[in-house]
Amino acid sequence: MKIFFCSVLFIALLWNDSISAENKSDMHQHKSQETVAELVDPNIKGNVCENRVLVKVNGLVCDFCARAVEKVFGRRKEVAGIQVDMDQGQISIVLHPDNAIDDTTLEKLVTDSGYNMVSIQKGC
Amino acid sequence: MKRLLFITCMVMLVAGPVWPRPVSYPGGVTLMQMNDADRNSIHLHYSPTARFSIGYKGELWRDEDWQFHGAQLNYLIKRRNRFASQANLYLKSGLGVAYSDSDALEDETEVAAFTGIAVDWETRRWFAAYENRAYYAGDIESFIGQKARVGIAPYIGGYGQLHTWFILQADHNSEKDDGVIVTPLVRLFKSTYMAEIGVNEDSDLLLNMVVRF
Repeated sequence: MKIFFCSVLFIALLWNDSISAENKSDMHQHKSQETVAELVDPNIKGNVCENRVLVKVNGLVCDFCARAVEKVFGRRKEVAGIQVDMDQGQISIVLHPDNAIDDTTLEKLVTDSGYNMVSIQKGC
Repeated sequence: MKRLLFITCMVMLVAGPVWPRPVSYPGGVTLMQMNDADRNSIHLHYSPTARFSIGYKGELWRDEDWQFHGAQLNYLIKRRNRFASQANLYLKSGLGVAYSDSDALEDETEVAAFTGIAVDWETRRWFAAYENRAYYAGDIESFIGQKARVGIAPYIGGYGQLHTWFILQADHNSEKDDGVIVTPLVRLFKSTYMAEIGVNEDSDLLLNMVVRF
């Protein structure tokens, strides 16, 4: 009886998770656009797209460890804000106007955070 | 011993955070305070680079009535990142002083050292880990300890949410007669705070806390 109960609970958890994953996938594109808008400080002037960098990384599986991303990127004066998306394995970075971070530095920051760079997309 | 081998094999077959990372980001400081059936320990480490960390390690072995105080160096030998998983291999070593207050070795002090490897693999749903440690403290104590863990997250938490893991831990100490100790435990973490609580088969409490600064 206990095994049956545990099995039902386990299947229910997995099923619930798969439904959640589907919903997240459907909503993702819309959410990404919202995320960038939310990240931008209303006091920052300029084009949102010009200030945005989207970095895809490998290894982003642990929330506790991913806090390193905030710490490492947050120390850079060019960075206005960041958003970590573990579902998509990506880090959205918003830079202060007229600031830039070159690709080599971005890769080092990602490595220092504990991950591997996959791609960099600048702008929208 | 067969049980330990079996669990270790299962770990390798099934193959977060496992044990909290012994190496943090450059400039990161981590405080770990752990308590189980045998010992109370504290480890405060600083990571100058993303490759290694160094810090203070203190341990109190209650039953044998001895302590260790010294420096611990953790080195990330290899990290493998994939889209949905991460695996790590670490070398963890320490050097310091052991002090015994037991009846047999009252006020005995010895140079002490330990070394061992730790390997882990994790996804957002599963994790598996194994670590060992060879400990030498002269006449006070010498042993080889091993620990394996498997865990499952009952739900996949988003970034910033409360994360929960159900974990099964198996410990073995070559100097103890009680074989493999199995401890089911629950891990909770949110932001930079982590806590683990469990009870082993002998009703001993496990309570671990980690804070990353």
